[in-house]
Amino acid sequence: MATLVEVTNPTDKVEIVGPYKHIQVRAATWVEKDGEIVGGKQYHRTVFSPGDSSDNAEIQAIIDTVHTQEVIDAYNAHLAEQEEEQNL
Amino acid sequence: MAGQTRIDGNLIDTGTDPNDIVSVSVGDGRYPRLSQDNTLAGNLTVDGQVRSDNVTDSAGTGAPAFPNGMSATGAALTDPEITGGIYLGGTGSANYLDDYEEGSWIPTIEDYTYSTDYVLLSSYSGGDSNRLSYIKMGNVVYIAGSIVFKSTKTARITMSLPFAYSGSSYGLAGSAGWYNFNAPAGVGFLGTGGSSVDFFAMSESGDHSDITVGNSDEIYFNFHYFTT
Repeated sequence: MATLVEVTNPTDKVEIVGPYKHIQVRAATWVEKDGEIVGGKQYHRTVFSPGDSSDNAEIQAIIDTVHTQEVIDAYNAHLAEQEEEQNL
Repeated sequence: MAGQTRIDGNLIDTGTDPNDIVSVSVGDGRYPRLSQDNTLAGNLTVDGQVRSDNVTDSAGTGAPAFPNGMSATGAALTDPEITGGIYLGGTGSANYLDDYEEGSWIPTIEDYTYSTDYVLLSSYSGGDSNRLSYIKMGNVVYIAGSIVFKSTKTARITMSLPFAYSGSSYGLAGSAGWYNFNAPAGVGFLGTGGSSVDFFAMSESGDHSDITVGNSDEIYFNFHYFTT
């Protein structure tokens, strides 16, 4: 009897982008039948800005490495400049 | 016949299993040739694949003619998996398409709590009212949806995006509509913080201001933006 199993890889793709090192994480979920992928993968995205945290230990480790205090300070300064520029 | 036959210094091997395919081993500078009535015919594979670096035309200098009409023109491929990108209309970096992706994300709306303060409506087929769908083609992201408010608040509506935007916060393009709340000159939006969009009310004089929403008020939006 075939066994269907839903599998999720929470860190299917991790990208660090932009001047403030936003961390883009793609989670992938798929169904396996007897070890073979059935159908396609479904993707779910999350972006972590400097100062954000994650429940996922692997992602949090990346955050801790990438979002240094220097990066967080630069990002907060950028937000303040943007707030003034956009008349927030 | 099983076994090996040596012809003109080359080796043809059918192996001992009658189901084995024929393997042909030739010397340097020679090429295996499949023909029918002295006309080239059949498909040639190397290590189970058609290998462009191993297969040439009959002269041994040009590209091979692929089976089923597959060529530079008129090729029809069914569900090919392209692990890299593809050049369209040219071979420069401006012609290179390296990504297509459909998916969903759960936006966070600053100072608002899902379910208590708002729900989302969109084309997302999963049935969740806390998710939106996106499509990414190359480095352009497309999103659309509606925010339906459930409580009364006055604030900017800052919603997280599925990808960080590149360049200016003024680079997001599209439109936003609204229902039931006061926005004299409409609802505008700008990027904020590198990975969020900020909705605001516009006055007739062009000022940007907080939005005061109440139960059943709505914002509709569709826009696209560039990511890295």
